[in-house]
Amino acid sequence: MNLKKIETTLSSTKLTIWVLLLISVASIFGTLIPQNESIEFYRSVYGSKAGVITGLALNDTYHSSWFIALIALFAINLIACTTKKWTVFLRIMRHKPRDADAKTLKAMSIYHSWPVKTYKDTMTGEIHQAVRQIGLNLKIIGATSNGISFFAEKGKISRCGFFSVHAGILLILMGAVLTGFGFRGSMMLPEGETSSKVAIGQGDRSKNLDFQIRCDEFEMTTYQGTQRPKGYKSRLTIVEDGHDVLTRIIEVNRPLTYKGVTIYQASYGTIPDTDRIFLGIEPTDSSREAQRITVKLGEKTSLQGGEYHIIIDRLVPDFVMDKNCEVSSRTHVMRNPAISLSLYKNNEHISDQWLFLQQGSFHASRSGPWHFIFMGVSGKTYTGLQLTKSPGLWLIWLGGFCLTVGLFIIFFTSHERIWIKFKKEGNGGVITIAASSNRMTMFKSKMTGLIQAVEKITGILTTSERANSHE
Amino acid sequence: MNSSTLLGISTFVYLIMSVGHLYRILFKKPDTDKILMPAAWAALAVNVLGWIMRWIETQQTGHAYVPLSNMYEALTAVSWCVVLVYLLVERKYRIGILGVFIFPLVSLAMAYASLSPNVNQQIQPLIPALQSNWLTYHVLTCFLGYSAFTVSFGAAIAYLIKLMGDSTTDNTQLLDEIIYRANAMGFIMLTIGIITGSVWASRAWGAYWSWDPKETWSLITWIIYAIFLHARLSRDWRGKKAAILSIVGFCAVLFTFFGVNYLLAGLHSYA
Repeated sequence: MNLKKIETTLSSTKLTIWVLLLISVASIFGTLIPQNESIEFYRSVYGSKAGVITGLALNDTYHSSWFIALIALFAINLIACTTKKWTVFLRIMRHKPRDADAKTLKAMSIYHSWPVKTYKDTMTGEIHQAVRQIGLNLKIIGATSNGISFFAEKGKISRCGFFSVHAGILLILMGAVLTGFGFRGSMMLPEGETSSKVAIGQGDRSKNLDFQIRCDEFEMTTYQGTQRPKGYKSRLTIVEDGHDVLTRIIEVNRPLTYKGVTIYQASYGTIPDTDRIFLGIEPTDSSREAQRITVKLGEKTSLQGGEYHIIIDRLVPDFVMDKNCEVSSRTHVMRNPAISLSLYKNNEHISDQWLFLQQGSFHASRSGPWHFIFMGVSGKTYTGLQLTKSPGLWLIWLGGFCLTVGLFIIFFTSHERIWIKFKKEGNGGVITIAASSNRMTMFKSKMTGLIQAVEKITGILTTSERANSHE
Repeated sequence: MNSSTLLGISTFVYLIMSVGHLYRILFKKPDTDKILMPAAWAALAVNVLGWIMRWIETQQTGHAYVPLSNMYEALTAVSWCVVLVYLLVERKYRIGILGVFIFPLVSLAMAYASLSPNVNQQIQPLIPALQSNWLTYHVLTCFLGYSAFTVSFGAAIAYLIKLMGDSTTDNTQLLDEIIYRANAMGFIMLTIGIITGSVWASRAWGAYWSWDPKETWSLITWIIYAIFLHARLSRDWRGKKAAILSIVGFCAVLFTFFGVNYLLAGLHSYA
């Protein structure tokens, strides 16, 4: 394979444009197709095309391997472009004002040359003044009996803009990669409780912090006379080795950072208090009394007479049964709470059943000599915290800063260089002006003005005069 | 005078300005600039005053927030941003013909803000996530960016029309230059807008980037203008191609501003 060719392709602006276009198109799909929904959702919305969507990972576009590969290609292209320009950049930055030969000058985008009768020393000052008019400072870089050379330069920093912008974007991408080494999770912390367990993702994984968080108090305020939330506030205490380390109030937009973990106020709600499950028990015959008891999850509770006892094995706040008849909770909100109750007679398991709060008054749950009615469960207010460890965040901000500064440099500065030379030829001589800039549009008109001004100072030898001078 | 009266007056003046600029173009009367320009500055002043009045009204209701938090406030703010940027460009380049594109757009936005049933004009106190100074920095920088892109769009349309008609007047070169400069300005502002938004998101939600539709569309817009600038600076795309790319970019701006809110759901759904 031709390595040189690969290198040229990887560092081409054409590739940049194509990769950016592809990223845009992919992103558009990502916004049009709802992301991270269940397979059933895609089947019901897209029918037979659902397979295409999941196959191409368009249900999680921005984390799909091909999208990440596109961004990686973009990063490679960016690095290749930047290094390609690096040597040229160094040469320009190190450039000392020096005389340029005629050939180099002739190759510049602005080049003008005309014959003059003579060169007087007083002209130096005037030319100097004319160049200052367009904002540059002329220096003498060579003076011999044969002529004199001037050079002026401005805005070298303009060449840095390109690097600052590209480095900024690379820093942001690096920051994003580093973010992958952190985590993002949540914690539902009821008032008064302490925890170090962070639920990651959909709650199927968890992570233990090396410190604990206690929620001392949670408060939600609403705007007067409305249900519109005004603020959520939690007073949190960080606990380490059993000692309270610090106490802070966090609010939305006012997080707390401790040991690299930032704790955000994200939500609030109520979760069932498993210590306070209310159960109604009605005997099926009149030999026993009806009663109302409060039971704890997992705790053995003897019933009247002592012959029977029950255990609440499970409590799910939002009952749902999947295809395999497995019970789980759809959310952590108490939308459809249910308990699983086991009945024992003389310590022997005789039945178990699911009881639902919403069907509480419905005597469907006859079991042995009893009706069991799930009458409710206490709720506990919890504060919904979001916990993030983002080791790459500082790189993102640094990158954003470099990017912005670089853009200002690119669009508000320009690198301008001007050479002016007088060379003796016979009795008279020739004036040469050459100039170049990385932003030509404005510079061109500035230079047209300068050339006119210098022509006025030195005068132009007409052809007939020139012929005379040669005689 | 309350804010809606002032904003109503500016809407009316913008409408008249649209007609005035149409007259100026169709009957080739550049002299009308003597009236149109001061009138534009006056309309801008009334628009800004109306917006500030809205700010004062939020304080009177006891909620005190910078009015940038719903579609109504956003439209009245983006309108004065567009007119401001347009007038600055006009003052520098004296191109004259941009107004015929800018004022209809602005009066449409203003009229939509006050007349559409989709736009709620009530002063509603801010939900917790919006209670941040970053709201102002983020929204204003984005809006100034959108404004520059709007001016560039106007110049691009003007350029294409000129190209079809009396072609090579030296105006086309100036228009081409305005397209480039406005896009460059807009790009800087949009970049700052995305970064400030990212800082804010990181403080409010704990994630600097979540691929929310608004975020993603602002990135798409950013990419289109990045392509424009690369094509211009390293491949010297000018004229027709550059003008068309600017129009494509402006469509992305419109979708980011309106489309995302009405067609896609996401974290920005309150605005």
